[in-house]
Parts: sequence; C-alpha cells; structure tokens
Amino acid sequence: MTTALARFTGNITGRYPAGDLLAIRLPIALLLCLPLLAPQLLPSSRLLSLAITAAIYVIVANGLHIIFSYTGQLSLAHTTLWGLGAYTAALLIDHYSWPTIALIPSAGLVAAAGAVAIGIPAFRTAGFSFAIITFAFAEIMRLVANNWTGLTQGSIGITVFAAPSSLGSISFDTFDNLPNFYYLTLGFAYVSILGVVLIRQSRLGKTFVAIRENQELARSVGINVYAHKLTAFALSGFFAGVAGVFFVYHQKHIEPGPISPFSAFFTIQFLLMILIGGRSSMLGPVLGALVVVFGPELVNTVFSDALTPARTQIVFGSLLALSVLTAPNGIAGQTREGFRAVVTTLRHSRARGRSWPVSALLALGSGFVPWAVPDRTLDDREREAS
Amino acid sequence: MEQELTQFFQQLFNALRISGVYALVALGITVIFGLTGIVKFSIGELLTLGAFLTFSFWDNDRVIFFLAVPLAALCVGMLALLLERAAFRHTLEQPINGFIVSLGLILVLQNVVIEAWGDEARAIPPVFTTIWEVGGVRMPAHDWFVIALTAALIATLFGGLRFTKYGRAVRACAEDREAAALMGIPVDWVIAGTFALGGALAATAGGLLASMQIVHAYFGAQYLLKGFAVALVGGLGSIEGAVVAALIVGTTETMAAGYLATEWRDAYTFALMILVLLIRPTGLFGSTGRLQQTLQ
Repeated sequence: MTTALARFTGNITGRYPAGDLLAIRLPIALLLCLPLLAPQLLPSSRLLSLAITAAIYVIVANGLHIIFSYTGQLSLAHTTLWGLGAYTAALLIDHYSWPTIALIPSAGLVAAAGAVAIGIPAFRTAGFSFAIITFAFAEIMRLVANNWTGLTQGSIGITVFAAPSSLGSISFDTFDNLPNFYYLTLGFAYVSILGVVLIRQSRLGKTFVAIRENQELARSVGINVYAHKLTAFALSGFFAGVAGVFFVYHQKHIEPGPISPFSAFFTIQFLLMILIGGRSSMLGPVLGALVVVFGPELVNTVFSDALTPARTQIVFGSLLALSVLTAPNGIAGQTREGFRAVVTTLRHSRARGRSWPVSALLALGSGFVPWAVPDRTLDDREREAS
Repeated sequence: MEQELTQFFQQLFNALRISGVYALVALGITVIFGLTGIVKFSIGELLTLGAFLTFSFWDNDRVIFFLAVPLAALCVGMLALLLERAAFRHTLEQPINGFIVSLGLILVLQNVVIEAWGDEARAIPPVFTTIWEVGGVRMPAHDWFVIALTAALIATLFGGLRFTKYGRAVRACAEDREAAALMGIPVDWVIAGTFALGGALAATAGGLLASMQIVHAYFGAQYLLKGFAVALVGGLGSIEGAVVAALIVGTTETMAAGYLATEWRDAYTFALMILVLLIRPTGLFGSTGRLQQTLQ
C-alpha cells in the first residue's frame, strides 16, 4: 500500500533524484486528504452540495481517463453511459427498492455492458470514425430514453426520493445528513482514484498505453488490440455507471434533457475536465473536476454573479480550446514542468556560483514563467565552454 | 393505391428539399476534412449563427431575404477564416486536437448566440407563398426556390473546384499538402479559404432553414449531425460522395419517418451511418490513402 501510494505520487510529478518524497509526495498526499475536511470548511450546504457534485464528476472523469487518456480512444458516449447507470439505479429503486450495496455493482455492470455493446461494432474502426460512431450511439440512446416512455417516462424523466441505505446508525439522507452522504460519495471518489492508479500501474494499464502509443506495434508483439480496447471501454463504463447511482441519489431525478448526462454539453465538459486537469497525469481528472465545479462559483463570488450560465459556457469553451492549443498537458502537466524548471534552475544557478537568494528568485521565476528565464540548455552549453 | 402514390411522391419531394440543406453542410465538412484531416464539429453552430444573422439582416424586409442570406454567409465566412487563423491552423499536425478545439467552439458560439439573440425561437416567413399542387402532391414555390438555390450552389462549387485556379489548388492540397507547397501553392491560405467556404456554406444552409422552419439557438447541432452522417456515408473528403449521400440520407430518413415511426427520425440516419461505416469504413465514395492514414 505505501509503495503503491509512493509510486502513485511519484508518477504525478515525475521522478526526482533526491528529496522528492518530502517535497512532492507529502504535499500531494496532504492535499488529497483536504476534501475530508470539506463539511467543516465549506460555509453552506449549497457549497457542500457542489462538493458532492465534484466527487461524482471525479468518478465519471476517472472512467473517461482510462479510455481517452490511457487507451487513446476518444469516446463521445461516456456521459451517456453515466446516464445509463443513473437510469438503471433510478428504475431499480423505483420498482424494486434495491439497497445501495446491490445498486452500485449492478449499475456499474449495466453501463459496462452498454460500453461493450457499443464497443463491439465501434472498435472495428479507430480515430475519428470511432469518436463519431460513439457519438451516434449516444444520440440513439438519448432517443431511446426519450421515446421508450413505458420504461423511462420519456422527457419527463424519473424522479426518485431515495437515500442510500443506512449503515447501522449512520444515515445518508441528503436532507438531514448531507455530510454523511458527502463522505460516502467522497469514499467512492477515492476508490475510483485508487482504481485508476492500480489500473495504470498494472500490466493491463501498460498495455492500454502501448495501444495508445502505437497500435500496430502493439499488435505486432502479440497484444490483442481489439479485446484490450473493449476491456478499457468496459472499465470506463463501470466507473460511469457507479457514478450514475450517486447522481440519482444526489439529484433525485434523471431525464434525457439538454443539461443531462445525455447532452452534448456534458460530453464536452468532461473532455474539458481531463484536458484542463491533464491527460498525462493520474490526478488530472480530479483537478479538472474541481476547476469545472468550483471555478464559476469562485468567479461569481469575487465578481458578484458576473457569470451567467451562458457566459460560464463561453468561458469553458474558450478554456477547452486554449488548453488544447497552449497547454496540452493541463494543470498537472504545467505544474510538473514548472517544478522541474525550479529544481533545475536552482541547481544550475548554484553551480554557477550565484548566491542563494538570487538562485531562489530565479528558480521561482522559472517555475511560474518558464519562458522568461534564459534557455537552460544554452546555460549548460555555456558552462561546458567555460 | 392512388393516395399511396401521392404520399410517396410527397415524401420524395420533402426528401429532396432537406437533402439540399444536408448537402450544403456536408460539403463544408468534407472539404475541410479532405484538406486538413480535421473533423470540424463547430460547423453546426456556424449554421445557427448564419440563421440568426440572416434573421437580423432581414429585419422584416428592410434588407430583402435574397440579400440577407449572402450577407450572413459572408460574415460567417469571415468569422470562420478568423477562427482558422487563430486556432485551427495550430492543430494541423494533430487533427484530433482540431476536433477538440471545435468542441470547445461549439460551447462558445452557441452561448454567444444565446447572449446576443436570447434563446426564444424565431422564423422568417417564406418569400414565395404560392403552393403548386401536381396530382395531389403539394409543392410550395419557396421549397422549389430552396432546391434550385442549393442545386445551383453545388453546381458552382463543383465547377469552381474543377475549373478555377483556386479549385485546382484545393485539389492539389488535398492530394499532398507538402508537394503542393513545393509547387508554390500558398497552402496556408488555401486551407484558410476552405474553412471560410465551409462556414459560408453552413451559414447559407442556416439562412435557408430559417425561412423553412422555426430556428432556435440549439438547432444547429441537429443539422451538424446530419451533415456529418452525410459526409461519412459519402466518404469524408469526397465531394461527389457528399452530394450522393445527401440524397440517400435525406430520402432514407424522410421515407422511414413517413412510413415507420416519426419519433425515431434521427435514429434511422444514425443507424444507416453506423452500418455504412462498419461495412465500408471509408464511406461509399471514400478514397483510400489520406483517409486510411487518418483513420488508423
């Protein structure tokens, strides 16, 4: 467990020869514990409700991370699988009042099965064709949710007033015991993070990455590309399905409307989370979800409701385009680059005999504005010459 | 029997009408893809923008409809050109990034339309109000006008690509961008030009649709998907394919909606698209070569 955690935090920041345990892994571990204090820190239950939304988004985004970031397949049906999980949960609660412990695996498995059903035809193609076939399937599923009124009640949707089953004396009722419900959701968010880490570290995860990097090469060393893509898609679907259960418990409602998991808006928003957070980092989706959920809230607090929903979306859309164009590795990637710049500049500066304060200043500068300090490779060459 | 025949021809007429609009959207998509390998999803929002600009220019007859549509097309074309210069040209090396940028632009453009025009629905009354009736088939003159206009535009586009200097440059760039650059073709500007062309075509489609149905801020997405289905069925990058596929998709969809259940209208198109992509991943008229590189 400790080694897994160490390897995990090590991978977030890249590996540094010395002192990185204290400098990087400990802060990250502490930061990861911070959400545990949210009920004490957040002043209103509305903010706590947002934190629950963020935790649910983390689970969904982690699923997308597996298929999009690791396996390199741009699935546009991911949030639809989330909606599928939500419908499964809503129906099972509505008709059979299933307990949470049974809902979570069944919603996950239904969404995973949905992913496999889409994947079997869709993975016969790759690249854009795959993206667009998944999009077509997403649209078809939205139409099914809309038109199969006998099961889904069409555009009205299903409303269920249910809380997760109590655990002994602990109730997870979202009206009176919101913090408890928050901890439950947060727990599953942590599990999903751990799941992503374990998958990424495993042989399976390495195979996914091999397929992303070079499908032909992967095939030539005997990897069954098709089966592995399906596995990745099913795993990502499972995450989405589990998140669907919490979505239903939290929202009490699921419908195939324009701001529902079935909408293109959510598809785009989850891609945004991963790209803003960082495709190349295991914590990318977590960072992205936090930015997307709390970003508009923060801006609205500072600039007194300057962000209408429409403007928020304009900002998100621009951010998505900008992050692809300027920072393809997202916040996590930029932080990593920045940290590397700080460490290297500090070392080089000291080696060239600059005093500590000057070196520290330069190093900090290089971390925040990497392009503002002289080219380090040039520095190296100078040093070699002299 | 006679009534069934009438119904059949009525559906065929409706199919022809909608096919022209699909073809305009699909042509933009297919030309842009053929040159850059970028799947440009934001073209649906350019269509919406075109519809709303047409509406504003038209302004209850101050500028007549025939001027409002080209004016809107010009504005949207310029916007598309600007966006290409600002964003898409940086993604030519990795077309999938261009795709993601276009997803971001969907959010931006859609909400700019909402901010500027609000989200209530609007419509422009048809310019020609006569309705011809031939053997029970009702054919509004306005729809014939739309069909004739789209046919003329498509013919112009074909002629332009075949016979003008710019058209030859476009085809050369589609064959091999680097070789074209070596021959002294300003590849950058040819590509920027196709983005402008795609935007203008979509805006024209939007303007025409505004006179055929009710439009609202979200209606572009639906035509984008249809345009895409058409471009994919025809084979991304093939302009002949786009036109033939527009007729196939338009007819299939209208017929299926007319004779089977209407509420599954969109599903028929997507089912057809998935089927074609699975049997022939390069589409009906898709060439190999560039496309295979992009698909793999």
